[in-house]
Amino acid sequence: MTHDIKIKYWALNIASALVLLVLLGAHMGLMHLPGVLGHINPDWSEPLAWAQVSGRGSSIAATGGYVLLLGLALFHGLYGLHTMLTEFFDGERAARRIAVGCWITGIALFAIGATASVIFHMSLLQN
Amino acid sequence: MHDSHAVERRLGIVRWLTGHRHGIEGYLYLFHRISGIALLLFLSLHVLVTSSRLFGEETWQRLMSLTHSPALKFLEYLVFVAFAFHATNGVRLILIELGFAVGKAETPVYPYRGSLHKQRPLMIVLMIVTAVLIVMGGFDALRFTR
Repeated sequence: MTHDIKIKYWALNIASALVLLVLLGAHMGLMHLPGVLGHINPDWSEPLAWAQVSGRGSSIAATGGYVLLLGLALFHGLYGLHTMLTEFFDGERAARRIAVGCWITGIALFAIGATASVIFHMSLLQN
Repeated sequence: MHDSHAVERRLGIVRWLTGHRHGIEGYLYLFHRISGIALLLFLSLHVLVTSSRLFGEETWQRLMSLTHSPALKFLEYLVFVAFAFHATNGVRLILIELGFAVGKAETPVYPYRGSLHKQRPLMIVLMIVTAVLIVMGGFDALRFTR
């Protein structure tokens, strides 16, 4: 991998971290602090109730947000994993294998998660 | 040409475990990596589990009922702890990486003033934020296990 590409990936990693701080912070807050946030808005006290799940799923903003969040989280996480693995395994061949493995994992998980979000959104709109 | 990763490769995971030699930031380095790996593993599982909402309300309710067990509630809490730490420590790393918390350039004489006067207070403040978030998450987790 050339130095320029490495710098671009690093910059993307920092940028994704900053966006994740906001998006994932909101997501984790809503999902893991319902007791605290439920005092602000009662709708946030049961985030895993089907009515809430389908309510978010029918919103295009929430669906788009989930897809963006998933893409950024996978990029950030797999960039970190890639960095750790290339510290352990030497050589150009190993680096290429690690990169290919990370890309395949990322694309597969993104395809599953994004497809599920979009199909769920569309099925709710049809009903 | 000097390969900056050569020493890291030679030491492997031993470098992670001996990070404490470099002070508390060494532990933060170790926990940042461990929490990152844990969050990535959780994300992979999370994508598969949440995709089950496609199969309708009944499947979703059945899956969610499994998460009410104290053991899974505790694991869920650990995910929140990992996130709280990784996010706040990440803020610290970004501030240092982008040069906001490095201090002015000066002769590198130990103990480094930039580290003591800028990075250490920043680290303490952010770890207090982490602790507050972890306590808040703990209260919420306990509310649902009661």
